[in-house]
Amino acid sequence: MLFSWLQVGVLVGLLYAPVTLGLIWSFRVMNYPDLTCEGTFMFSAAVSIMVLNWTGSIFLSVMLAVLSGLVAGAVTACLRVYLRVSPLLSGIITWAILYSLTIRVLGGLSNVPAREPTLFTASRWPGWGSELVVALVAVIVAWSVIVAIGASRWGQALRAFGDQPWFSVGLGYSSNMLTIIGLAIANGLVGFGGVMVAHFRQVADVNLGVGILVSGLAALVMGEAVFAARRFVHYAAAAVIGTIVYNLAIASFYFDWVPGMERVLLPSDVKMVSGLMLLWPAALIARRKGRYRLFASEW
Amino acid sequence: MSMASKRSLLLVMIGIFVLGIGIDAFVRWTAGPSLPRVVVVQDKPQEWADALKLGLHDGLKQRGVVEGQDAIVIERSAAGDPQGLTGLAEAVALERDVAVVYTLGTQATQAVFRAVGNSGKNIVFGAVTDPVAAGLYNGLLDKPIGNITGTQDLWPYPAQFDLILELLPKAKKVGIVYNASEVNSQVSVTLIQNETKKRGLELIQRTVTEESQISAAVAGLIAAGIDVFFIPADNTAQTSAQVIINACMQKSIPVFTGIPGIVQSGALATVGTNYYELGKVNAEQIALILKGTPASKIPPRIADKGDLYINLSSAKQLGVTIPDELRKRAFQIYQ
Repeated sequence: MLFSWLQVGVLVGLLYAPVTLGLIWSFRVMNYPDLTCEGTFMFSAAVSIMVLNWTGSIFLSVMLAVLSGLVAGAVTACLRVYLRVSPLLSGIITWAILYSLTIRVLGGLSNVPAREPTLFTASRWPGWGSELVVALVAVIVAWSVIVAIGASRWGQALRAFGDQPWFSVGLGYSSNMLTIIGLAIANGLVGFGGVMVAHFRQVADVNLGVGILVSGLAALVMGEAVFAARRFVHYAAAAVIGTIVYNLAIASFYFDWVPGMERVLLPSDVKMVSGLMLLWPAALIARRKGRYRLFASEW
Repeated sequence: MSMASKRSLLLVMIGIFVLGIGIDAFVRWTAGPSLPRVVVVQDKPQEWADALKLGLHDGLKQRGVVEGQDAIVIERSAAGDPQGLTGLAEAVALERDVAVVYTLGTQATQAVFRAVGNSGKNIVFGAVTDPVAAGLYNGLLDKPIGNITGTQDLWPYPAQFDLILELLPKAKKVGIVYNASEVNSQVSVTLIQNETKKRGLELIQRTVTEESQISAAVAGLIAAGIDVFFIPADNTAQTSAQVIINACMQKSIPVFTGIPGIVQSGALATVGTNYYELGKVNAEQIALILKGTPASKIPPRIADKGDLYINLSSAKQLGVTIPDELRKRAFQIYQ
C-alpha cells in the first residue's frame, strides 16, 4: 500500500510539475500574480487533444499546445504593458476569454476524448513504468528549459527585473519586452503541464484546469518549505519535489491505511486530510528564521 | 535548515516508512480472506450522484447482496479537484480485491477507464449520457473497448411508451419530428424505433433542417393520421415544443415528451429521468458481476422507471381520463 501510495503521488506529481515550474517563473521570478494559468492549462489541453485527433502527431500536438500557452501569456502581458491593466485583472481577463475559446476549440463540447495514441500510450511497453519514464523525461526537459532560460542573458535580466525593475531597465532592457517574454515563458510551461495531463488522462475537458492555480501555489510553497534552495537550479528542482509532496498528501486519503477507516471518515473528508497532511511541511516554514512572504510587492 | 534537524527529519521519514510497511503487513496477515470490494468513484459531490448511490445501496439489497457479508461498498471522492481525480483513478487501479469500480458521471468514468482499463477490473458507470462520444465504446454500444458496462442518463423510453399505452390503449400511430443533423437525435430516434417496434406501434417520422419547417412537418404528420405525437430529445423539436403542442391540441392529439417543463406548458404526460432508479439498474449490473459475469458481457442500459409528470388541464381538454392509480404514482401533477 505504501508503494502504491508513493507510485500515485510521484506519477501525478510529475504530471503537474510543469505547472508549478511555470508558477515559480511568474509568481516568484517575475513577481507577477499571473492568474492566466487556469485558462492556459485547459486551453492548451484542448488544443493538444484536438490537434492530436486531427493529425495523429504527438509532436505537433505538444508543440502547438505549448505555443498556444506562450501566446496566452503574451496576451496577458500585453494587456498589462500596453493597456495598463492591473496585473491581477490582466490575468483574469485572459482567463475569461480562454474559457470561451477552449469550448470553441473543442467544437462546442465540454469534453473530447483522445482518439489517437497519446504521449503516454504510444509506448511499445505500456504500463506504469513507461508512464513514469515519459513523465520524468518530460519534467526533466521542462526543468532544463527553465534553468537554461534562467541562466541566459535575458533570463538574468528577467530575474533582476522581478526583484528590482529599475535595475534591468537601467541596463538597457525594455521593461515591456521583459514582461511579455517572462509571462509567455511562464504560461508556456503551464500549457505544457496541460498537455501532459490531457495526454495522460486521454481527454480534454473544460473542467480539467479547475483549482490548478491554488494547488500549484501550494506545491510551490511546499517546495520552498522542504528545501531552502538558494540557487535557481535547486529552486526549480524544489518546485518539482514540492508538487510530488503535495500530491502524496492528496493521495494519502485514497488508501485504507487502517481497516474500517471508511466507516469513520466520509469520502468528502479528503480535503481535510490533505490539509492536515500539508501542515507538517508548512510548520517547517514557520520554524525557519526570517519573515516568510508569499506576496512580495504592492499588488 | 540545520544539519541536526535535517537528520531528524530523515529519521522521522524512515520511521514512518518502516512503520507503514509493518502495519501493512500486519493488516494483511490478520485480515484473512477479504471480501470483494465495490469502489464508488465520483469527482465531486452532486445531487444526482447522491441519488445514484442511494439507488445502488437499495438495489444491491433487493438483489440479495448483503453489504459487509457478500461485498464491501467503499466510496471515494475527489471533492471537485481534477488533480485529485487523476490520483484517485490511479489509486483505484492499484487497490487490491476490487471486484467492481462504480464511476459516477462522465469525467470520473473517463479517468478511471484510462487508469484501470487494462487491469481487467470491472467498470460500471452511472449516468454517462453518451458513452460512445466519451470514448468508452468503439462506435457502437455493443462494442466495449474494455471490461465496462453501465447506465446512460437518457430519457427512460420504455417507461414513456408504457405510459402512452396505459393512457391511450387504442393508439396505433406515433409521430415524431427531429433535426437529422443533430448527432444526439440519432441516438434518441433509434431508441424510440426499438420501443415502438416492441409494442407493435407504427412510427411515422419527419425530419427537418430548421425550426421554420416544424409547423409544416407537424401538419403533415397530423394529415397522416397519427394518434400520438412524441417530442424526442432533439434541440430543434424541443425549442418549438409550444408550436407542436398548439397544432396537436387543435386536432385533439396528445403530445408526449421526456421533459417535465414541456408537460407543464401543455404536453399530456411524461416519465422523467430519475437517478435513484438509474442507480438501481447499476446495482443490478453490479450484482451480476459479483456473481461472475464480466462487465463486457453485460449491455449498457437506460432506466426502466422514472418520475411521472401529468398535465391535468391538457387531459381534460383531450378528454383523456387519468386513472386514480396513476395520480397516486405521479411525482408532480400540473393543473
